[in-house]
Amino acid sequence: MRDAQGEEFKHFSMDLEFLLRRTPAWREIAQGILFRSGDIVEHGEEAEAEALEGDGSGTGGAAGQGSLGIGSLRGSTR
Amino acid sequence: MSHLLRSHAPISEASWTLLDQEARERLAPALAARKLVDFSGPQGWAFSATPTGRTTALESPAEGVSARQRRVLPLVEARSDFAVARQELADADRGAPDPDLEALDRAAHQMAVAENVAVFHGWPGSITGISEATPHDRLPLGQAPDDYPRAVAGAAERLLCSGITGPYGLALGRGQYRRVVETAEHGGYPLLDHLGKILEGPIVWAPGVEGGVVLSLRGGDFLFESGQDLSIGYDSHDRDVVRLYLEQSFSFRVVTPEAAVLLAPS
Repeated sequence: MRDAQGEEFKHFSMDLEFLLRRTPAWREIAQGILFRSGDIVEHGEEAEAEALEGDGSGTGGAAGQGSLGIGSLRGSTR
Repeated sequence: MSHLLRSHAPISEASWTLLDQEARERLAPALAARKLVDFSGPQGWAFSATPTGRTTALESPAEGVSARQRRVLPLVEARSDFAVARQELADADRGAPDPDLEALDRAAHQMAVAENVAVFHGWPGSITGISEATPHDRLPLGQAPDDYPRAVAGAAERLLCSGITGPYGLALGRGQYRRVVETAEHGGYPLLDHLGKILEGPIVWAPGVEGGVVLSLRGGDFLFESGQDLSIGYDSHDRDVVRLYLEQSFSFRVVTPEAAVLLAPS
């Protein structure tokens, strides 16, 4: 049971990293929450406000983080 | 607030979407390095250096204490400025299907060329490129496209002799790529397919590359680390134009110099 629990935690971490690589705004929010001491809820609200609303768009959409999200193009020839 | 200051630009959400989409469409075909080397990140704008795992010995600050300093690879920042007429963006908001975004297209191409050159040929003082690092002698591509299979097969054989397994990829400069695509060998077999069979990997259009580079795609040999991935930021505006820029930060290092062979243009 303990081994299975560790496996699931590893898979959860892998899923999280995959999603954060594809969505820079989520990555910015996560960086404001993870591996920090203090109030988790407060960190979450602050990080979200900075990442999404602090830019003035309030949506996190086109005017939000700004990355074109191109990343790796392995597997593409054109 | 993001340092790109996009919310300060007099640009609607719809026009930002249009600009981002146009940039993606122009960049993706020309970003050859990202189709062939390992990509990690993006780590964000605040990420400044890639750890190398190496250290330099330091003089001891006190008796009985030894000291070392970590060596890192600083990221480079690349920026390409451009301006868009506000009237064009206003027309796009009205539904015009053909806004003039030529300046953005030009900036995107310049950025892609800069990235390709940095990875394949180096960036003096900042990045050691693949062609600078490889210990193999460069092989001549030959005058005629019919000579290309011999050069590519020679490069693949040289990699095998060095213990570098495939599949292999081939980055070709503009002129060389065009010749490959337009050529059919004796018997009508497309040269592109013949080279693909030798390499067992992709052949990519690589503006900025001189000649060609054959490299292993097995992974772990060429590392591109992105800080801030390609983004459009806002600089300033007046009544007529909005001044924007394309920007990214990245580092690149060759871990296995033997894993690539340069094909010199004839």
